[in-house]
Formats: sequence, C-alpha cells, structure tokens
Amino acid sequence: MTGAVLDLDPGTRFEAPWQARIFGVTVAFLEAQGLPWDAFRGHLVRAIAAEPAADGEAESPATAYYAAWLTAFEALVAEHAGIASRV
Amino acid sequence: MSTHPPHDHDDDGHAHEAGAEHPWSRPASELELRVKAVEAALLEKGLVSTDAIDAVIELYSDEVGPRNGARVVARAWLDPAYRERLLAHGTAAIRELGYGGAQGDNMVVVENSEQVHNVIVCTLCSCYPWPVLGLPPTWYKSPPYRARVVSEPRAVLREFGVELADDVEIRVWDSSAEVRYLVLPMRPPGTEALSEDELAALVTRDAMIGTATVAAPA
Repeated sequence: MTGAVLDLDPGTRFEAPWQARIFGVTVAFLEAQGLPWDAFRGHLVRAIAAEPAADGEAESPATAYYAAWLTAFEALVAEHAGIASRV
Repeated sequence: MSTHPPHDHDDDGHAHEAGAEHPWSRPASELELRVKAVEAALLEKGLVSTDAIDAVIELYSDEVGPRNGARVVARAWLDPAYRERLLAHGTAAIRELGYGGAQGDNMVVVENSEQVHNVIVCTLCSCYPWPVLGLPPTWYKSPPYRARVVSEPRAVLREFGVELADDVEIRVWDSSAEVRYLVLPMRPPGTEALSEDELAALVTRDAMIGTATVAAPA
C-alpha cells in the first residue's frame, strides 16, 4: 500500500472536455487576477438558481451544472471588463 | 425527487442522454463554443495563460483527491494530539500534512461519534474542501441533494445506505462563503493493528462528506 494519491479514488473525471476547460479557465483567471473565490461565487449561486429544473432527460446533471458555471463566469468576466481592459 | 444513490467511484460518469428535445435544452456544441469563445478572449487579452489553465485541470484531475483527506483522517485516528489540533484548527493541522490551497483556507473538521453524525452540503452552489477531497461528485452539486439533506437528512442518509439509530443527532453543515467542512468519521472496530496507510485506504470520499461511514476491513 503506497498511499499514493492516484490509487483507489483518483481525482475528478470531468464528463466532457468543455467542462474541464471552463473549470480550469475560471480558477486560472481568478488566480491571475488576484480575485477571491467569492468574486465568482455570487454569480455561480445566481446562475444555479436560474437553472431550469433538470429532468435528466435532455441533459446530464453535470451538463446543467457546468452550463450554470459557464453563465456565471461570463457574467464575472463582463463585470471585470473595466479592470481587464486596463491590463 | 431522489438524490443520486451512492457510487463512491462514480464521478460524473453519466453519458449524455439522447432523449426527447426540450425547448430549453442546449446542444453541447453551443456550450463548447461559448467556452472556447470566453477562453480565447481572455487569452488574447493576456488575462490568463494556457499553461495556467492546463495546470489547474491537471491538478484536479490527477493530483488532488480524497486520498489527501483519507490521510488526514488516518493520522487523526492514530495520533490523539493531532486529532485535537485538527478539531481546534483544521486549516493548520491539514497543512501539517502538506495539503492546502484553493478552497481550503478556512477548514473546520467535524467529528462523528456514537451520539452525533455530521454531513456537509453547500445549499446554494457547490462549495467543497478541494485540497482534501478534490472536486465534488455531481450528486453533491445537484438540487435534490442540496435541498433534501437539510430538510430530511435522515431519509437522505438512508438512501445513501447510512442507517442511524433514532437517538443519533444529525448535524448538517452548510458551507458558507468562507468555511469548508470535512467530516472526521468514526474509526471502525477491529482496526487496532492497521498502519496509517492501511487505515487511510479504508476511508472513502463519501465518509468524509458524511454520506457514508467507514466499514471495517473484510
């Protein structure tokens, strides 16, 4: 038993590459801009609340979740467009 | 409405279902295009780098996961002084083992006992202690879990296979904007001779969320 991180329960497997991508872009953007998680969290909460109730037929729960995440990130970027354009 | 049943290794493995068209359903291609567009815009402005994005994805895909939290739990089971530090100052004690970073700056560890069973949730979104558990499973982020574990925790736990006596108090911890919770599950009986690595191997992600208990070795 090596206790290595990769055994038994490895990291997250994203359902689709675009989900991994928007996750990575969001976290990298927050770090690069020195923004706290809370700068994004408010948008995420609102986007999740605005999601139509998923019945599991048209799209997977993961798709619905990351669709809300994407909408939230687009809102965050729009909010910081003023700061962004000064860089 | 049911929560997703427990599958400790089932991390979001649901295939995209080709069901009937819904007026509000989004083709995956539309979402992909939007992701590409926002990434390209930020790259063009130099606000984020491809290397940084790739590093984040790799970190949470391959490196950070529940094995980190399992080691914290095993250490607490073996070392009473560490357990005290963990319960008193979670962030610092977790950092002692080398774990920390995004979403782990304000850790509170809650201990299960014969009288109390803890379970964590983020009712508004998906807040989760990334440094010790990696990224959350889809069921944790789903509307049914987020609502029902607060309003009917005993029923939800039963659906996850956790049967608690009526006199066991269930405490549901709703992650705030700052605090991230980790459940310290009870050490199962019959494990007195196990090493830290062997104990850590028993600890599942769900046990550290509170939707499972740690089983004694077979």
